Order: sequence, then structure tokens, then C-alpha cells
Amino acid sequence: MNGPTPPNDIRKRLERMTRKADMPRLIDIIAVDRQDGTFDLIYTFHHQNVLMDERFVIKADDELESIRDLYAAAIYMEREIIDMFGLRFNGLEGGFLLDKNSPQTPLRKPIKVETVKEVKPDA
Amino acid sequence: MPNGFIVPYGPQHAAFLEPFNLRLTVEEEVVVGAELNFGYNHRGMEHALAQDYKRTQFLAERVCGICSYHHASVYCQTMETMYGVTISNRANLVRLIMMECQRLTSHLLALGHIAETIGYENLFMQFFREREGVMQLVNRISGGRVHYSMNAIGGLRKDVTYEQLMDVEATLDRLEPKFLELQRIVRKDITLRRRLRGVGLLTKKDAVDWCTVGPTSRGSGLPHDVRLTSYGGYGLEGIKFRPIYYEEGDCYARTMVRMDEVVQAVDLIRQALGQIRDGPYQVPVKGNPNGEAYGRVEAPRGELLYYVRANGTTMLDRIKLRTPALVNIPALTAMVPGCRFADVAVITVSVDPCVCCTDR
Repeated sequence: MNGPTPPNDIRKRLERMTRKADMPRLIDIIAVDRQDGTFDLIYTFHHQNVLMDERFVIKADDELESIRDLYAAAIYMEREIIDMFGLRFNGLEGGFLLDKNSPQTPLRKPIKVETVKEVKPDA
Repeated sequence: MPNGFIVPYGPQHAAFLEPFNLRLTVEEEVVVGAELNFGYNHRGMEHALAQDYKRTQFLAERVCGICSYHHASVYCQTMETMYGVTISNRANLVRLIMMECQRLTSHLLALGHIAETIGYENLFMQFFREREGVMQLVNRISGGRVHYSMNAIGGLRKDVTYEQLMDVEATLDRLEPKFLELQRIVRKDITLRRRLRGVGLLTKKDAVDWCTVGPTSRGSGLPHDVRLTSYGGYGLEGIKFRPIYYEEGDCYARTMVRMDEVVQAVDLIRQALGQIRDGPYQVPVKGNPNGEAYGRVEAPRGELLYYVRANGTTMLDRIKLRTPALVNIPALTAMVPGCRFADVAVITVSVDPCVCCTDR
């Protein structure tokens, strides 16, 4: 993959691709830490029994445009990426799989081993 | 006074086998909105799975207790793609047989769970009685009722014997008439039809929008099935397969898809038994994996995707699991609005929610 993609281009490329392929089914959005301050963001689709993907390189502090208006299912995929990697999607917050007492961004490298804080119920 | 009441549904609820939370907005007896909350069972599996690629095949099997063999198979399939090896027909067919056996146990559990949720205890017990026959069969073949641990990267850990294959055939001969009788009951029974027809509608448009998979999408008229991509044994000569789908999009359609797939699974196992020949069961693979690969299988609840990126060491750079429940459960937010509060349980159960898979 080449250098980082400007955040505004991601949405445009995805829109163009989905229009061309007549709205293929979104399978997943995969983030991978490249360990140099950038991340791979891979959108995988199912189209005519073939898996195809669109790949982008993004910077850690980029604010990305959500595609939840194209695919409702994308909201939970994007929220999972926020939880696991701390990336940002406009208008979305984490808290899908992790709560505030969990280790934060656990899949961002180097992986830190943290102790889970014990939460005591209110007296 | 607000327009509706907020009613928490779960995480601990009699209808749920695992914890998740539905935050329902209810007006009178009608649900007008729903919001989902997960994470009560998060175990950090994607982190743990990346620690040692050799052990991952056993840990992957522990992601879920219902579709465990599918997790192990798709992981091995992904790594085999990465290594560029083609496994033997015998290994492919044994995997197909075991995957279809697991589809039987999973679908019979889901069908029993639906029957139990609508208070039809008698039918629930019939589904579970026949399921037990399949559970005992897989136990005799693999040594485990839940985790089969039969796979290795490159094929199988150990071969199956001729007697075990005959055992599969004899057990299916015994169980098939019972499955057909259950199919007849599900088709005709007035109680099931009254409780499930027209309930929890998921239109084709919503199914596409929520990217649903498996019986949830096939119950809404979308013939999506990864088995059509001819992976593993499904692409071998002599194995014929057509996806089962219903157009109605209600709980009854999803139930019927599962019921018909039970009968179809028996047919697929018989086809595989007819094609299986003596031969090698494992292809050796050498060195640590390097590169990236995808793997997909049709698990009982729908498409299961694994993405693996390796760097030439024993640790993996990234392993990502997209389980079917991750897209099927959120589709509840499109099914529930407009339904009666009393129907929420059966609508939820009709997508066969698996929180182990979703939370990972």
C-alpha cells in the first residue's frame, strides 16, 4: 500500500465502488496497526460470490467519515474499531465492546498489559 | 410524561442463553424503538489468538461453543491459503461431514430454543432428543461433544476410520425419519404458525442494509450462502448444493430455513460419504506463515470470515474474526419496532444470537 489516504477520499472511493458494483454486501471493516503511527483500514465486500476489498492507509489522528448511512451494519464495525484501536469516526463513540473500566485501545501496538480495574457496585 | 417507557431487556433474561442488553422503548404494549448493548462477555480473543499461530487452531475452536468446528476449519483454511497448500479431497470431505454435523446440532438447538421461547415445551424436547443423537455421533468420531479438535493446518490431525464413516451413515439413517417428522410438524403446526407468522419482519431492503447473513438473510429472500463459493469440500465433484431461502422475512421463514437446512445437511453428509476415498489426510506445511489471507465458511448462523496477517514469526500481526452474529443481532433494531412486547423474546431467538461470537 502507498502513503496515507486523505480521510475525505475514503468515503468518496467507497461510494464510487459501491455504486459501480451495485451495492455489494459489506462483510467487515478491518483495522491493522502498522506500528509507524499509521493503520491499514480494509473494507471487505461480497460481490457475486467473490470477496473484494478496498484498502486505505490512515493516520492515527485522522477523523474518518462513517459509512453508516450507506450500510446500517457499519455502525457496530466502526464502533468496534474505535474501542480496539482508538481511531475516530465522525459522530460515533466507542463503548460497544469495552466499557470505561476496561483497558483502552487494547489492540494498538505495542500492546500494554493492564490490570482490569475492579468495579464495586454502589453501596 | 414521555411518549414511551424504557424497558431493559437483558443482560440477564430467561429467553437469552448469553448476556446482552436490549434497551426497548415501549408505548402501551408496542415496541417503538430498540438499542443494543454488548460487551458483557468480552474476552479479548483477537489478542489471544495472535500469540502463537500453532495454538490458534485450538483456541479458535473455543471462540464459540456452538460453531466451534467452523471456527477451527476457517482458521486452518485461511492458513492453508497463506501457505499456498491444497489439502486432500479426503480431508476436505471429512471437514464437510463434521461441519454439516455441527450445522445439525446448531440448528436443532436454535429450533428447540424457539419452541421453548413460545412455551412449546413438548416440541423443544423433541428437537433436543434428536440433537442428542447427533451430539453422541460427533463424540464417537472426534472424542468431543463440543470441541472436535480434528483439524490441523494442512488437513486433519488424525484420520477417520471406515467404521466411523459407517457409524455416520447408520446414525443418519436412524435420525432422518425423525427430522422429516419434525419438518412436517414445523410446516403444519398451528401453534408455531400463529406465534411466528408475520412476527419480527425483516424486509429484503433491511436485510441488505444490515448486511445480514445465514438463515436470517435467507429468511428474507436473499439466497446468500458462502457454500456457493465452493470452498473446501463444497467445490468437489459430486457435491451438489442449492441454498434454501424463503421470501416472507418473518420468524416463521427463519425457522423454516433452519428446519429445511437440517434435512439438507443430512443429504450433504450422504453425498460426502459417497465421494470419500482412501488417501492422505494431511499435507505437511513448513516454516512460519508470512503474508495475509482471508478465509470464509458458512457457519450455522451465516458467513464466518477470518482475516490473518502474519510476519514470518510464530506471532501473528493481526487476526480478525467477523462472526455472523455481529451483523445478525444488530438487525434486531430493524425487526423489533412495531412488534408486541411479548414477541421480543421470540424475535430475538429467531436470529439465533450468539454473544460468545459477537463479544469474542
